[in-house]
Amino acid sequence: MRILTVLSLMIFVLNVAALKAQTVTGESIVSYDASSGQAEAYAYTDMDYTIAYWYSARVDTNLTDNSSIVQSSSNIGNPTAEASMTYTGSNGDNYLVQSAHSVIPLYQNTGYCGANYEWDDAYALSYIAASVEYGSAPQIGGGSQGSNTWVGSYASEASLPVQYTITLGDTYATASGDSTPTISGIDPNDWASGATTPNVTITGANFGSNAPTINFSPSSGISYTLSSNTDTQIIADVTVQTGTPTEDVDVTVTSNGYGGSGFAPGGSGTSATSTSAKAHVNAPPNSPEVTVVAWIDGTQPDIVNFLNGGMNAGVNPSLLSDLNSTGYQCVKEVTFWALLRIPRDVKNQTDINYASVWGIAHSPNPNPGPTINPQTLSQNVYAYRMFNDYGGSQPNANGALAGTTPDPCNWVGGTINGWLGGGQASQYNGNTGTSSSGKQYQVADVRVGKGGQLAYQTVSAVTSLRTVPWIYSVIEFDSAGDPFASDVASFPTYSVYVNNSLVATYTQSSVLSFFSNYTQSNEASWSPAP
Amino acid sequence: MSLIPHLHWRIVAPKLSYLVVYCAMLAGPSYGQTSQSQPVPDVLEKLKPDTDESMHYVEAVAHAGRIDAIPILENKFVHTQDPVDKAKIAGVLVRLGDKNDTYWDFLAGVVTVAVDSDAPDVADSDAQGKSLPGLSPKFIAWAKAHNIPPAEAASNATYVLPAEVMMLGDTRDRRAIPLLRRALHSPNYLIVSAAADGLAEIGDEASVPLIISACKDAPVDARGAIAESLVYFDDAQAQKIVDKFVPKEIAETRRKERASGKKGPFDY
Repeated sequence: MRILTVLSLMIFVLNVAALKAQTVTGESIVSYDASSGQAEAYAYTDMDYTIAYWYSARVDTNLTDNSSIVQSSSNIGNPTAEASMTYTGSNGDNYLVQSAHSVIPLYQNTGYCGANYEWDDAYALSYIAASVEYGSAPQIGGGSQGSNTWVGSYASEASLPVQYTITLGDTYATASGDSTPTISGIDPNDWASGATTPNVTITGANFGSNAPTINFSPSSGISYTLSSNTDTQIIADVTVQTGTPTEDVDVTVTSNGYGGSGFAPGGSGTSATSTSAKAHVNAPPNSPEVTVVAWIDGTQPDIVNFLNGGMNAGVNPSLLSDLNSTGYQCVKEVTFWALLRIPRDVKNQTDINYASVWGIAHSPNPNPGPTINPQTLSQNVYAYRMFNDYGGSQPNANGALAGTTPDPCNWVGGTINGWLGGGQASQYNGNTGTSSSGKQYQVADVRVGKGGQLAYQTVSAVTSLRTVPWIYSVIEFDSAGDPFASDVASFPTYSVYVNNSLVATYTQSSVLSFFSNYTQSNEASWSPAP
Repeated sequence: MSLIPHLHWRIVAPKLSYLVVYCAMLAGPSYGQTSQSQPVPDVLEKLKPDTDESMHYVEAVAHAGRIDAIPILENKFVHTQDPVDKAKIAGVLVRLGDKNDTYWDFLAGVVTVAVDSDAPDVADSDAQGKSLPGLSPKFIAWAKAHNIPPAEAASNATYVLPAEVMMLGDTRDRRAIPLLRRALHSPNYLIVSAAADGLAEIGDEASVPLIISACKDAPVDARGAIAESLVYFDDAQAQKIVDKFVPKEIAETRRKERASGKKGPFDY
């Protein structure tokens, strides 16, 4: 816990000069817990046994945040009056608790014979105003009844009897100062050489509210751009220059303090810099550039058969007609599925199969051909379902990308896709690292966009709800820089290029096999398990 | 140790009150209806998460008439950010009989925006009324004038706005009739088709002439999508229009479905 600002302690001791001493003590404490963000204040007025017989204790207290009162509390008790407050605060603010402590004479019988009830200020501890009305007690330190302005006015306005002396305790701070930062995690902690890894998140504690410093060891070729920072989280883009070798990197965070002030050590042994956590730089050594293009091959036998009516038998006639007539009819059918979640015209597994293959057969991609320009191809999102590019002089310059599904309704020439066709990248897409076998890898993992997913969910739910499977490719390099790119899903077709030339093609399975044999998550089948 | 011994109660007490309120919500008001289906708690559990998959169960509970899902749907409405999903939930709440006007007002509000849009149809037609490939020049000009990328505006006009109109009709609530009739005059023929389906679902016989008129005013390629709603009306003129504009296979299927008990375009 970091005690932020002032822990003020006001003690006043009332001494009865010629008699046995009686004591009234007041204390105020303020603290701040950075982990919960709570400022807590506590104040009390406590009387000894003798005083407690004649008086009640009272405390009135305010909690201020940067000089503004944010909480107030009062209490009367015997022998102790306690007041407590909590407040959700902010690191870097200044908190102060100010309290007034008083005692109140009890209303009791002072008559020697018979009743004579009155306020009995037995030790003359309180200032008794000239006119005290029934039901309102005079209070020590109070220039005017009911006032909240106790602090500071107490000694001068109370007009206390001379036989008592008052000692005001000094305000002091305890346990003030900043704590040593700690790192509990870095994600992702595998950084590709020659690339910028965006949104590297460092989690931990005590990073401060001022922009902290991230340190790397070795530091050569590694830099960062800070995106955001809090006391417990730093997000930064980390750039590793081309040529930086494969290596482990020690990462530390240096706190630069809170609220514009520099780091103020909270005690001996406190450091502004955390202990280190590990990250890793991956540099494909002398590797070629490998590109894997996943595309729907519309010339495959099952698709050609479908387009020739080979799957029409037994299909609901209105499903057949709606999907294959005007754009208005087709769009309306897809809207029923994707947005209203109504499986219109889909009655059984035959219809589900037809609708599933229809979506693929009417949205093929062009064959990328024997040679490609990876950068140009990557920018044509309709040319592929997935794109994975890794290695070469700029190891992942073109990265791992999801393509856009052409509109199977061919509505207004297939020129709009928006939310319907934009592919979805999984949380693993673009990940790089070193596998347990020592190979450096990059994963691409995507699936059709939200519209396609929702439509398929609705249609498949007629028998049992399924979600669209992911498709993936993993490009790997061994220590000699030799590539491996055969780790691909069985659908769609994957064309593998080394330095822009086609070296292998993995032909897609049938569409129905893709939908029926895949589970929602296929990542377990990757060579480097995520 | 906390400096404040009683802090825990101060924190816990309000949470206990929330718990009491939540338990009361689960117990639920009667809504004056009785569910026709057997309770399947599993469906209600699947309804709760804020995921795309859970939205499938929004339609599922509506289809099953599960009024016991209303408290969960109300909570889901509050937390759902996607405007289309929010409209869908609102529509299902209205359909299940939720008397809170919040849901009707929300859905009617988004549909009013769709109906009042002056965006032209995204498709262009030739002299014979056949659709031409590509976005219509008028639509592109409209999108640019409104500083919206044409593809984004077209996606909205093609899928989102018509879907919202369909959701209004799917409530089967007669309060929707005036708005749906207005939608028959939309320059977006997918919205016109959606409105016609909604009026058919509600069974508003008085709207038949309006639907027929909208059909005749539409481009050739859009007429079938609008006219198939007329299958659900026992009106000779309506059935003539169906025979004239709706593809034979679709008309036959829709008539068979109706004969077997399907009450409207959204029924299944």
